[in-house]
Amino acid sequence: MWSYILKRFLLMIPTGIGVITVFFAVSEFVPGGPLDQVETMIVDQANQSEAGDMANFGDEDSTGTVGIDPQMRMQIKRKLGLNHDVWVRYFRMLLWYGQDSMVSSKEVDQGSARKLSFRGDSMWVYRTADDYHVFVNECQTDGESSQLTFSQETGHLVSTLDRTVQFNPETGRQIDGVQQLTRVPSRVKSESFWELEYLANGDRLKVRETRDEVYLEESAWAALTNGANWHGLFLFKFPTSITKNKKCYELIRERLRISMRLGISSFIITYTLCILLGVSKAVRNGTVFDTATSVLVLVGYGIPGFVLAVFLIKAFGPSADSWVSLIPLRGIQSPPEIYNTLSTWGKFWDNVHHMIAPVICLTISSFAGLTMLTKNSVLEQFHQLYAVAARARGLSERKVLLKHVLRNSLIPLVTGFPARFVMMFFAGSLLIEKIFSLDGLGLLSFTALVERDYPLIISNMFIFTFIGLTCRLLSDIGYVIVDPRISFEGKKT
Amino acid sequence: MSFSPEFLDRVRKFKKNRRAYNSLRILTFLFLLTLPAELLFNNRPIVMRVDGQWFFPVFRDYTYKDLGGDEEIPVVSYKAEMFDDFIAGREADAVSDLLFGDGSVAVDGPTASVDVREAVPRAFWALWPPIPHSYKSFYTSKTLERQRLASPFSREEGGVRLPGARMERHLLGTDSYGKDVLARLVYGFRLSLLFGVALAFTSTVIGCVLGAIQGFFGGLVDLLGQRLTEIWGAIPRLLLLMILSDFLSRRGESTEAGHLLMLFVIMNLTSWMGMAAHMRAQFLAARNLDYVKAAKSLGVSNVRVMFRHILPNSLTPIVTFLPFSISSSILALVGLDFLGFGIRYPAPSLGELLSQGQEHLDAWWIMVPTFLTLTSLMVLLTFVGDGVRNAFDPRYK
Repeated sequence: MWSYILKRFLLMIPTGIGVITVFFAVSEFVPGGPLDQVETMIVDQANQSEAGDMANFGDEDSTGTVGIDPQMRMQIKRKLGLNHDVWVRYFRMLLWYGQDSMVSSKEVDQGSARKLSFRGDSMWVYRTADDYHVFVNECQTDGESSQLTFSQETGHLVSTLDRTVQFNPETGRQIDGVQQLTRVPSRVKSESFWELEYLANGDRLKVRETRDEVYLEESAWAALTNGANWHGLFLFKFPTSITKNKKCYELIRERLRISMRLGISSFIITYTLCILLGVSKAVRNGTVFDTATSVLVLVGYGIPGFVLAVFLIKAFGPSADSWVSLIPLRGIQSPPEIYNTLSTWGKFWDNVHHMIAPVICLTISSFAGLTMLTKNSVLEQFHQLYAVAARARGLSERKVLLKHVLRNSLIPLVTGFPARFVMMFFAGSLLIEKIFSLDGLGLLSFTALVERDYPLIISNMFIFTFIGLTCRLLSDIGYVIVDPRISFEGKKT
Repeated sequence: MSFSPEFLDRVRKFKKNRRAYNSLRILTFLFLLTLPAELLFNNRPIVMRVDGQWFFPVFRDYTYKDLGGDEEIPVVSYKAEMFDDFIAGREADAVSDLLFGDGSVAVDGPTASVDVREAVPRAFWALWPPIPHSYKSFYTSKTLERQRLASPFSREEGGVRLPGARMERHLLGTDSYGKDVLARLVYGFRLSLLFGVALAFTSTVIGCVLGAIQGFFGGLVDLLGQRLTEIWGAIPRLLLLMILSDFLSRRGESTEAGHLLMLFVIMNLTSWMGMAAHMRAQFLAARNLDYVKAAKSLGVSNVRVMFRHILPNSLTPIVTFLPFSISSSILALVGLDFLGFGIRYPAPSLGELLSQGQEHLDAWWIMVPTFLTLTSLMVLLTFVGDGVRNAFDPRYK
């Protein structure tokens, strides 16, 4: 058993790599990638500010490099991390060891960026045509590496990689939320970590670390064990989203709450109703009730969820054109200014009220399969010898059903469990989340795709694959727990 | 080709299932009804006779010269004023006077002029389709106040009484582009069904081949194939289709049909996994059975064993899957269209109509018929599929 689990677990790795590779390849080779997207945006904005509505008539073909000078292009590339080689980017997505750096080794080789000084493992200074890049292994309290970019001309802090790290010119302290720094003194001092002094005249840039004893000597082992040096999805380190300027996992975590709420409630409703209905259909096999419910669940299976969703909004939505106003149009709860005034019970009802229609649409097509599966499975078990024997012992029909038959007939239900669980999270809900404007994972992937935010898409895919494969493994283990006769060890032909 | 008695027995069993059999009959009827949609819903006459000559505008494009006029201008609309003038013999007024007002047409330079033939009314007879609107024509008569989003019944809007579009034979009104809803529904129904059936067939074939190879050879081939299926299956279908379809539209396949074909190809890429998994299981089980071993020991080639011996014995999942495969294919297409990643616009599409219905909630004549068409199509397919499964799958008795 354990060797089987281990084997399955190891097989998850190639699958995960495969999924990421597919999406990476798509993002690399399909035109209209993130760089084009940002450029189009900039060109459009420029056009709009110049010619007003004329930008709308701009053909897609004309969005190439028009209006973007190479320096700006390089800046964008650096911001998106596209200045690195393809294989570097690929492995950074998967698994990668190395200090974070905004300037790629390719640029250093080509001479467009120059390594100026190298001090231990903790700091590099690069000079490119337009900026100095100072890379400090640790400059912030959360221990992640960061990069500061200084303008060569003015010596001003231009940008940082992730967060805006800026320093108050008076105190030298790091401050948050400042949009622009007008004057950076030659001496910047951060309370907790490091002190940096530089002169920005030509090559005579001087970088001095005052706390040499801490950072100068990072031994190979220390560098290797420093978590900040490791990257890649396989360590659950997510890239930064291009459009949202946030780490992908934060975005996913935010959206996961809504998706889970929808998914879990549909899941519970589906399984409860299907098992109840399936068992009662099996008990009443062949009666009018049986036939009628069969037709009912089949019709439900036939109706596509998203088509029903549009219809429900039309029929019962809040607009003046609907027939009866029963359900809200969008969102998972009322806007905060209303929601916060509600009582606890009111809040609960508000959530339920918003979820009724989406949950109906999510579950409607899943009743048929599960109900029939339960019914057939119960019927099959009813005629097994052990059930006959139990009846012969004088047990009541109800006891036979509940104590003996039910447990065995639930085995086939376990099979569908993981697939359905993941499906609830994603597959069906992209359309439904879009129609009801629910900020779930499906909508996140959709907008990421429309905006070509490939790091976000790949992170999403990784999460889905991971959850999916784990669920599949869990269901196999579930098999063994439910039915000890099953063994995965034997010959698998 | 003769069918085995077992197969015929199952067909008989299917026919006995009244719900499924009637659904199949209704579906076939609807399909046959919508098949000649060009002859039923079109903005061109089926047959017309001008000055003793026969023309077939539904099947061919004509210019005014073909019809006996002078100008090499294609006939865009057979209902426009220009065509009426041509028939009534007001050709000179209509074309030339409009331009120069003196009956002459400047050809090369200011002095050249062409004598326009004496205006003669032409003998004209035409057989029109019952509904004179096609899925892409947006001609409506001038009497209709508002051509876009016209309700079939007259209604009050902003204090103005608008006439019902059904008087213009827009039986279900018009959509937001001024196109006939019923025509788009009928054409869209036909296209969806054709697309779904074709996709189901091709993806079944692909799935069978890939699954058969995996199951038959087993071992490393199976392991690799399994991983491939898993990877491909782990990616949500709609998302992958959206990326690929977006890629297509950027590449700019110019014609409607070309785009549709490319869409068909990419949808094939994402729809073979279910079938492949089932066939793999079938072949994996069958390859150790005696008849396969016997065939192999007689020196029958692998391909022959796979497709002449095992496949005919594994037909059950193929037949059982087919209706569900059709309905899921149709749904994928509708979903893509709904999101705007599907068929290019003027082509008739149920998903596009649905999204219009969502956008214009007041236009119930778009929403309700589309909803009914889609759900009844899906429910009928489900009933057929259920019947087929009951008849063919030995586990469902």
